[in-house]
Amino acid sequence: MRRKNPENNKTAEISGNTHNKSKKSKADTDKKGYSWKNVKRTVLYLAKDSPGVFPVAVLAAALDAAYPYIGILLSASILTELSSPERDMGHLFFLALLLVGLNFFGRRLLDFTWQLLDVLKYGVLKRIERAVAEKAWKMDYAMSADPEINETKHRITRWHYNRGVLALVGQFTTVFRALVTLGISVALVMEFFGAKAAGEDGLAGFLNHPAASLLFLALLVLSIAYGIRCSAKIEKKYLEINKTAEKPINQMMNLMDSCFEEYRNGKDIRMFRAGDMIFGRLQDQSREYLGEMEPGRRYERRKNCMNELVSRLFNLLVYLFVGLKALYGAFGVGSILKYTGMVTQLGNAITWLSEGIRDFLQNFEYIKVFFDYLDMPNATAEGTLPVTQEIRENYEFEFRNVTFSYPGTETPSLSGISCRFRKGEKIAIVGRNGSGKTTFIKLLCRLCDPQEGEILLNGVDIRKYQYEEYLSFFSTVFQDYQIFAFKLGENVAAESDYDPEKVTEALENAGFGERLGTMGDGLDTQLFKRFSEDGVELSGGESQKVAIARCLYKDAPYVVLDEPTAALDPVAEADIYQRMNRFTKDKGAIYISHRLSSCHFCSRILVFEEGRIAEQGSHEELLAAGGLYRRLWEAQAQYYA
Amino acid sequence: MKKQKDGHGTFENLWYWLKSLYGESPAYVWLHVAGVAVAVAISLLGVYMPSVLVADITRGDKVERILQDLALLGGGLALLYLFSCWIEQTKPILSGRIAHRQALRLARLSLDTNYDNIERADFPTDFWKLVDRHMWQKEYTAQFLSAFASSASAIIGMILYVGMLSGLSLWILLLVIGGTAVNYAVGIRCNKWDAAHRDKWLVLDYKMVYLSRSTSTYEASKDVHIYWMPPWLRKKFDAELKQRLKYTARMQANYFLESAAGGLTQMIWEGAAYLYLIWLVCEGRLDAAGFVLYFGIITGFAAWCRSIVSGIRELHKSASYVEEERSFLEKLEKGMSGDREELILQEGHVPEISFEDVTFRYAGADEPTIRHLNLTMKPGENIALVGLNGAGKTTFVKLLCGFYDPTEGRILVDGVDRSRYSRESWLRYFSGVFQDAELFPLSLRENLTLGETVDEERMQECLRMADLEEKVQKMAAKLSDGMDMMFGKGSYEDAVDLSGGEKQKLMLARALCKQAPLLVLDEPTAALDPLVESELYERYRRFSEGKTTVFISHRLASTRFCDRILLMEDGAVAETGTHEELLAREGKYAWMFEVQSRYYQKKEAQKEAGLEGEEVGE
Repeated sequence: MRRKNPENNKTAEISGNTHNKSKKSKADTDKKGYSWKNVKRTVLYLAKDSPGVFPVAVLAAALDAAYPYIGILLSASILTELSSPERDMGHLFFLALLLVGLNFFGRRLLDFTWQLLDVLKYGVLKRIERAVAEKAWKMDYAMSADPEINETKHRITRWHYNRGVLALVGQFTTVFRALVTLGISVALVMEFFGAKAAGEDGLAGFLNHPAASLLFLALLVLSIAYGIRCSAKIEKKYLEINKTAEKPINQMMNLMDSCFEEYRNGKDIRMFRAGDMIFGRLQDQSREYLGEMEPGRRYERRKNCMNELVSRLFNLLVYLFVGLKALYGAFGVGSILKYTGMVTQLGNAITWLSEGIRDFLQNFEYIKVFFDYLDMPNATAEGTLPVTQEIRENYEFEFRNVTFSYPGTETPSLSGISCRFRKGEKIAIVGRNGSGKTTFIKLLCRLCDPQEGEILLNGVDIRKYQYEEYLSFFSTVFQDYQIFAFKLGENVAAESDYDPEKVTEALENAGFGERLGTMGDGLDTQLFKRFSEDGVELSGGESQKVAIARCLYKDAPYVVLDEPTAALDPVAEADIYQRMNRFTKDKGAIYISHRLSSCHFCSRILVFEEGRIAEQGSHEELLAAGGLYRRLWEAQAQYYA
Repeated sequence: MKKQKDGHGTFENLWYWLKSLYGESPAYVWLHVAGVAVAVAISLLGVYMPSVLVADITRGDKVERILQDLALLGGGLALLYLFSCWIEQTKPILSGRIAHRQALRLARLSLDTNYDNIERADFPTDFWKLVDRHMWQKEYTAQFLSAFASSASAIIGMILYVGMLSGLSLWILLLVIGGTAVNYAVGIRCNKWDAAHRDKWLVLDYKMVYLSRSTSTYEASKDVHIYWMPPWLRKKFDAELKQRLKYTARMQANYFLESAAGGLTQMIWEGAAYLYLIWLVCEGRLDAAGFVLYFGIITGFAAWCRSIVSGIRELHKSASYVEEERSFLEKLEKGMSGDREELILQEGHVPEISFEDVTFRYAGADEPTIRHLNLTMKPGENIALVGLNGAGKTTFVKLLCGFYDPTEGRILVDGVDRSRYSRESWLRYFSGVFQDAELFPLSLRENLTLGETVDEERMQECLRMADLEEKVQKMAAKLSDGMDMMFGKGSYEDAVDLSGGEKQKLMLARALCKQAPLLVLDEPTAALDPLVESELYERYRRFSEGKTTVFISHRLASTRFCDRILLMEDGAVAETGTHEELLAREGKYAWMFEVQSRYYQKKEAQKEAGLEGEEVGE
C-alpha cells in the first residue's frame, strides 16, 4: 500500500516521540549523556558518509552571514558621502562599482557553496534512505511484520531535510550563521549606541541616555520572542491536529489506493455498483480531514497576522529611533540605511539562533529514533556455526515439539509439532485452509523462530547456524512470491551479474521458454510498466513460472514449494510437477498443495489440522487410516474417477 | 503562443482553469485580485518611506513632522502588511477545500468511467500524479493563481513606476528590461535542458523509491531473505544514485549559470543606475532623498521585471499541468454511454445471450484475443469454461459482462444488440467473483454488499454458504459486531486480515448476496482446500438455480455440475458438450482431464491392486 501524505509529516513526528518515550525504559532516555552521545554519533556518521559536508557548511554559513553587510555598509557610505558637501564624484563612482562588483562575486561564491552543500546533502539523504532500506532488507521477518517498525521506517525517510540525522547539518549552519552575524552586528550596535545626539533638550537627552538604548534592545528581544512564541504555538497546534487528522486522510488515501492503484477491483466496483458508496466514504473522510485541519489553519492565520503586526510596528520604531538620532546629528543620513539594516540583521541573527537551538534540541528525539532503528538487534544475527559442505551433502531436519503463535494472536498457529525429514525425502503437506502449513515452512526457513521447542539440523538447533548460510540451504517458492519491477534475468538470478545461459535454462525448465522467445529484449526485458511503457506485464501464471525459475536457478539443496501451481492450467501444472520431480531428484523437497495429486511424487505426507500434525505416512497408509487425509482425498478424487 | 501537440493552446488551458477555479470558489479568485492591489501599494509605500525620512532629516524638520510622516507612511505600511498577511493565510484555507474537491472529482470520474478506460498499467501512475498535484503539491490552485496575480501586480507596478520616474532619463529602465530579456532567454535554455532530461532522472527517482520501499515490505521480505538479496539491492541502489547525482550536479550547474547571467545583468544596470544617480546628485540636479527614492524605484522596477518573467514561466508550467489533467479527464470520459438506452429486465426474467461472430482485440495488440466466437447461452444454462492459460477465458467474461465491447461482431440480449443499452444497466443483472479481487479497506458489511441494502439474515446466510460464518463468529468474539469489523491494516487500528482462502470465500459470499439473473465465477476455488471446494460444487446447483452461470476453473472437477462445457483455445470455442460427450470425443478436453486425473486414478489403480482399493473414489 502506498501512503501519500507529506502534509502529515508532523503527525508522524509526534507519534514517533511518544512511541519512543513509552517504549524505551526511562533510565535510558533520562540520561543526558545519551543524547549527546547520539549527537556525536551523528556528526561522525555524517563526516564518514560525506567528508565534505561540514567544511562546506561552515563556509556557506560564514559567507551568508557576511554577504548582506556588503550592501549595508557600502550603500551607507555612498549615501553619506552624497549628502555631505565635499563629495568626490570619482570616489563615489569607485564605491558604487565596488558595491555592485562585490555583490556580484559574493553572490556567485555564495550560490556555489550553497549548491555544493545541497548536492552533498542530497547524496547523504539518499544514502540514509538506502541505510533504512538495507536495515529493512536484513531485519528478521517477524520484525518486518511489525506495523510500528514499519511506521518508524516510513517516518525516518519522510523527515527528509528537516528532522533527523541530516537536519543536523542545517541546524549547524543556521546557528553558525547566526553567531557570525551577531559578531558583526555587535560592533555596529556599539557604534550606534555610542553616537551621541547633539543638544541638551529633553528628547536629545533621552536619546543619549543608556536607558533608551536598553529599552530599544529590550523591545527588540521582545518582538523576536513574540515571533518565536507564535511559531512554536502554531507548531504545537498542528502536532495536536495532525494526530487526529492523520486517520481520515490515511483512510481516504488507502481507499483510493484499493480502487485505483488496484484498478482491477474496478470490475467489482462496477458490477456491484459500489461507486456511490465508495464515493460517499471518500467524501466523509475528506470532510473529516478538512474539519480537523481548518481550525488549525485559522489559528495559524490569527497568530501569523498578530506576529506580522508586532514586527512591522517594531520596524517602525527602529526607523523612528534611528531617524531621531540622525535628526539630532548623531550621524549622517547615510547611516540611517546602515543602522536600520543592522537592526534587521541583528533581529534575524537572534531568530536564527533561537530557532536553530530549538530545532537542535528537538532533533535529539529524531536522531534517537534513527539510531534505535539501525540498532535493533536481529535475532538471526546470533548464529555463528557455518553450514559446511558436509552438512549440505548429508542432512536431517527435526522439529522437536515446536509451538508457534503470531504476535497478537491467542491461539497458536502450530502446537507441539514433531517430525523429521532427511536428504532425498519428498514430503507433501496437506490440510485445510488455515491449518498452519505455510507457518510450518516459514519456521523451517527460519523466517520465524518457535516460542517453544526447537528445530534441529543434524542435531544442532538451527538458530546456532550462521543465518545467511542457513538460508542458502533453501530454494523456496512462497504462495505470495514477489516478482520485482527489474529486468527478467535479474529477477531470476536475484543478481545483476548472472550467467545468461543458466538463467535461460532455469526459465525453460520452469515452462517459461516459449514466452521468453516472444520477448524482444530476452533476459533484459524490463518487467512491469511501472518505470516505462516498454515494460512487460506478466499474467498470474507467467509470474508464477518466473518465481519457479528463480527457485531452480538458486539450485539449493532443499526445495520448498508452497502452492506453486494455483494459477496454472492442468497441463502446465502437470508439466511443472514432472520437471520439479526431476530437478529435486537428489534433493530434499516439501510440497504444499490443495491439489492432492501432487502427493503422488512424495514419499511421505504430513496432514495438518489446526496447527498439529494430525496424521502422517504414505498415501496408502493414510487412506487406510481413514482420517482427515482420506476425507480430503475423496472430496477431490471422486470427480476424477 | 505555441500550440501543445494534440492538445489545447496555452491560453485556452489557462482560461479553462481560471473559469473552473472561479466556478469552484469565486472568493478564492477575488482574494488574489485584492492581493494584487495590496502588493502594489506595499511596494509603493516601501519605496517612498525611506526617501521621505531622508528628506525630513536633511531638511532638519521638526520632530513632530517626522513623527507625522512615519505614522502616516509607516502605519499605513504596517496595516497593508497585516492585510496582505491575512490574504496569504486565507488562501490555503480555501485552496485546501478546492484541492479536495478536485481530487474527489477525479475519484468520482474514475469510479464511474468505463472499466476499459482505467484498465491500463499506467492508469494508477497518472491518477496519483494528478491527485498528488491537487492535494499535496498545490501546484494547480495556489501556484496557478499566484502566478497570475504576481504578473498582474508586476504590470501595474511597472506602469506606475515608469510614471514616477518621469523627468529622469528612461534609458536606465530600458537597460533593466534588456537585462531581464537576456535572463529570460538563458532561463528558457536551462528549462529546455530540464524538460528534455526530466524524465530520465524522474525514472531514477522512482527506481530508488521502489528499491527502498517496495522491496523492503513485509510481503517482499520472505523472498529477499531466501534469495539473500540485500547486497544486490544495495548495488542496484548505488548504481541508480550514481547516475542521479550526475544529473543533480548538472542541474545545479545550470541553475548556477542561470543565476550568474541574472547577476551579471543586474550588476550592469545597478552599476549604471548608481553612476547615473550619483552624477545627477553631483551635478546638483538631485538631492540625497531623491537619490534614495529613485534608486528604490529602479530596484523595484527590476523586481517587477523579474516577477513578470517568473510569472510567465509559472503560467506556462500551469498550462502544461492543465493540459495533462484535461487529457486524463478526456480519456476517462471516452465512450461513456450517456445516450444509450437503459436495459430493464422483468423481475425473474433470465435473458438469452448470443455471441455473433465476436472478435475482440486489446488496444495496441497485434492479434485478437477472441476470434470469431459464436455462442448462445440459453436462459438458466450453467456453463463451464475451461482452457489453458492465455486461451482468452477471462477476456470472454469481461466481454460478457460488458466491460468491453466487441471489436467486431455483436452480442445479442434476447435478440437485441447489446450496444443499444448502457453498460451500467447491463451490469446490473450480473453478479460474480473475479480472479484478482481484493478486499477494500472498509467494513465486512460494506465489503459484502458494496453499498446495496441487504438484510442481515441474507448476509448471514451468504456467509454460511461460503463457509465463512464460523470464522466471522470466531473473530467477532473479540470485536463487538462481526459485520462491522474493518479490513485494511494501516487504515484502521483494530483491522483484521484474512488468509487467501478466506478472502476467496468472502468474494463468493459477496457474489451470492447480490441476486442477479447472471452469475460469473472466474477461478473462485484456486485457494480453497479440497473439502470447501467439494462443498462448493455440491451447493452449486442451489446457487445457480434459475440463473445463467459461467464457471471458470482449472480444476476440471467443476465441470460436472454444469450443463455444458466450453473448451476455449486461442480465443475461440474449440470443443463444446457435456463432460461425457467431451471425454468420448477424446479431444483436447479429454486430454486435459486425463492429465489432471492421472494421479488420482493411478493411485486408485494401485490401490485396487492392493488392499482396500474399493473404498477409494466413488
